Amino acid sequence: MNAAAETAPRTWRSGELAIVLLLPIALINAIGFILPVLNLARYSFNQSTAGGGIADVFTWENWTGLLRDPFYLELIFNSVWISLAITLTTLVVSYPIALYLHRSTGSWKTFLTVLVISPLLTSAVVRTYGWIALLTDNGPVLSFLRYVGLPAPSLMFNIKGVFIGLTEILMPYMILALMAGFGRLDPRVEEAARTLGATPSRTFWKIILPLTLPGIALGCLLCFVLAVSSFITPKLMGGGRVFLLATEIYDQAIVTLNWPLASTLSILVLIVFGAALWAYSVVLRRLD
Amino acid sequence: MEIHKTSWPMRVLVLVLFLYLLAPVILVFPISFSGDQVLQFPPSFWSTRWYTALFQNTVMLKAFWTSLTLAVVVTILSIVIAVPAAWTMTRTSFFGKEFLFNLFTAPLLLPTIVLGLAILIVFASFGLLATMQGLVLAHLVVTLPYALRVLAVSLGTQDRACEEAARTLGAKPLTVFFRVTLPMLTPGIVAASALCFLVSFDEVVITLFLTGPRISTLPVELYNYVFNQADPLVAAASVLLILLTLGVIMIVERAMGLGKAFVK
Amino acid sequence: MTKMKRAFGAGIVALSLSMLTAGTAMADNVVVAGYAGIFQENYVKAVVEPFMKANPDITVEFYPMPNSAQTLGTLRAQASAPQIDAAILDVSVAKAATGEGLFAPMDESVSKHIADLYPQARIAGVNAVGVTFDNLVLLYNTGKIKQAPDSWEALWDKTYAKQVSIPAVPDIQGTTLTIIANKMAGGTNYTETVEPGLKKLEALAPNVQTWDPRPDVYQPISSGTASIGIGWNARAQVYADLSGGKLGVVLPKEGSGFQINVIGLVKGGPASESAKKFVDYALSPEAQAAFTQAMFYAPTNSKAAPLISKEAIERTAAGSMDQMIDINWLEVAKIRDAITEQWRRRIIPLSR
Repeated sequence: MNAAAETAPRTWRSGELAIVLLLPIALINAIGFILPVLNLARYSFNQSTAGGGIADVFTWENWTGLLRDPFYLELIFNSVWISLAITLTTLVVSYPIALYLHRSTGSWKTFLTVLVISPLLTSAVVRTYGWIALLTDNGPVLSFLRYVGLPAPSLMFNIKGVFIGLTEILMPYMILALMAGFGRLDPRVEEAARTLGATPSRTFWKIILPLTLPGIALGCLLCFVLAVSSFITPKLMGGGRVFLLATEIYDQAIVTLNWPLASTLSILVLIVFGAALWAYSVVLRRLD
Repeated sequence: MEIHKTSWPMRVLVLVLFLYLLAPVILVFPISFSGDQVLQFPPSFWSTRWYTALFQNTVMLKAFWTSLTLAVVVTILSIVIAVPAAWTMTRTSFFGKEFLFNLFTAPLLLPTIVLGLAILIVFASFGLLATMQGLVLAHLVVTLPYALRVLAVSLGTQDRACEEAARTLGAKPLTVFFRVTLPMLTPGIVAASALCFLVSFDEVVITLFLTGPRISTLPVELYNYVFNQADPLVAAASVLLILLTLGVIMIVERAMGLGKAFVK
Repeated sequence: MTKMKRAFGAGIVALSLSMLTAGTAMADNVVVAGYAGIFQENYVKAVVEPFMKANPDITVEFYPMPNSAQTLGTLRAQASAPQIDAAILDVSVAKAATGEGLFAPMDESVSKHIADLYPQARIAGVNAVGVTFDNLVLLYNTGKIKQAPDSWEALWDKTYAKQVSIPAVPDIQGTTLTIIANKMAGGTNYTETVEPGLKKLEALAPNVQTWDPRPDVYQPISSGTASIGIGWNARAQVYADLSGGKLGVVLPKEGSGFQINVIGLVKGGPASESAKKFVDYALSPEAQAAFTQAMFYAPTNSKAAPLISKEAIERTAAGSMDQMIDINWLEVAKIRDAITEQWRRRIIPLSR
């Protein structure tokens, strides 16, 4: 590579150098990404035999079996709507923080940004562990609710706990995505609306919200994809009754060792993901 | 916009939401000093027994060293591989560059559970399961896109005038790269390294598919521990992890500014 | 300058390559997979540590597993390059593992103690031998339930709605409960159909707080997070003592299911010879007696009994053999996957 660069400094555009410099990353991409994903797609047409064996055939069995089985249809439906609900909740609880951050300045803003990012850099296992401690039946949250006389439904071992935990885990992503999209939000526009006599709520619905829609769309896309594929939190907090696509993939891959079925479910996740991307692009086009 | 314009209800709301966001992270600190045998809050008495227990837990210690070694190796390799790639992406033009860039950063878009399974199946036939080589390769798949992205942004926004000047003065391309481009890239390299290190050190979903009894990483062992035990040991480990993470963040903050490194 | 940097770069690469190879496994490090939690704690103390003291050149690492199904999954995934040398797991799961060729043959050439094992511990067609005997019991929190229940029916009692803790299938405890429920519902032969049992379990589902008790079923019931549930006798006895009587243990009047944990040698395990030594020790009267004394699993070695205190034996499954429902685990092995499917599809969803 040295020789090529030194003797022919003006022929960089030839692409030879590019090939040499890109070779390592291309190799890793090929072995660790392209090949596995293509292989995954192929596996979804293989047949699983008893005891984790795999017959190298071509069959639609996994696909037809999956789409005819009410258990899996419900599982897919549940995964999608739970992820959607979590995404929307995350949006609602993240928006005020993002707006506040966008309006803050200086070191206060830096400090708050660090606070927002710090959970992101803390392992999901650790944060789920924190939620387990918070939400157990004798934990602080339920004790507090009982103390103030509010109903204290069990929050562990069911979808409620998973919902609360996962929403929090996705918040930093949503906040960062929202902030990235808030660039278009010029405080002067807001001010102008207020000076012209618009109420705060009217300013929000007519000015702030429309201007921040691209950020909202990006954040929702990101959180939806992460919610569909999350499995640490449902696995640890779900009490064995929260069946989602991601937990099912893990169980089929590790416990039952039905790799063809796990592959089929994975490709299904990719299809759901593709649909989300498509919806995102439609929303973006509408906005422009 | 000045803060005083934010109304009181809004401020209270933001405070509550911040509490929600930070609750689980904050909570592990008091729990880690619990003297109880089981996970409960508030603890009935305080002690440092779980820190002692952590440092006597050979499985956790071994997993920590594996994670550290893995993260260091992955970070170094990521930089060594991503710097030339990012340079090529920003300093040359060739057909299909956009496509390649998207392809190289695509693993970031793939749900980790899918990527984990995909890698598991292929690595099983290569005999790479539960080997250090396999873990390094799998982690590189996820760290390289981050490294490439951060370095490409860094190189893309770099002032080219110095490079031009050096070239006009007769410096060879390689000299230009090592004497001008690389030194100016240092903050980008630091940020990318920190990011790769954290991503590798914290990675759990893909790693869960690839570890085994003889080689395991700290996050995977923590996951297994939470799955099988209910004592505050994990809280003690979490506190140390959070402190380590904060240390790395401070390095990034110094080098580059957080916002730039993490907002896409 | 450039040269120096290049040398530095090469050094880094060399360093990282050397670190890559540093992580490879050492010889004579035996990995034994077994149950996590209190089982691991006591087994390491009573069996693994004495073994390592007697064999200083061998280290034994206990690899914790949440249940036998997960152990089987791990063994399957690693079939081409095993990392585990020996595994302790349920006999019905071991039968499946044997069928898939995951276990090396187990006979008197591995351990002469096999000749001394009770007949129930030597199972034809399974490449593994019994290492512990146990049985399913009813667990309850003595603070929340004053009157000790005497029947499995207590689980169905509406008073304990959302207070029942059941380790569901693929855990063997769920499978055993299916067979017990089948008998309670009037089923005659579980090998033909467990339909009556499944129907009965459907009625149980709304009462259940969790199907996946964390970290195990004993601690939440001891602490009062749950009121009642099912678990294994041995571990329950330990927690009954540890919790100062907060955990109550009952062998219900309908009888219970006898359970056999076996130990098998993984075919092609990296430390096979040392692993054989460990299996030999695990089956010895000393090790068997020590583990029974520590946590109330009935010994499988007939020569261990004289070494164990009478109080300890009384609290094991051996003390109540006359109350066991006859379960042929080799037959169960055939229907285990089908039962698991039915639970996931019919029973668990009813508890949402």
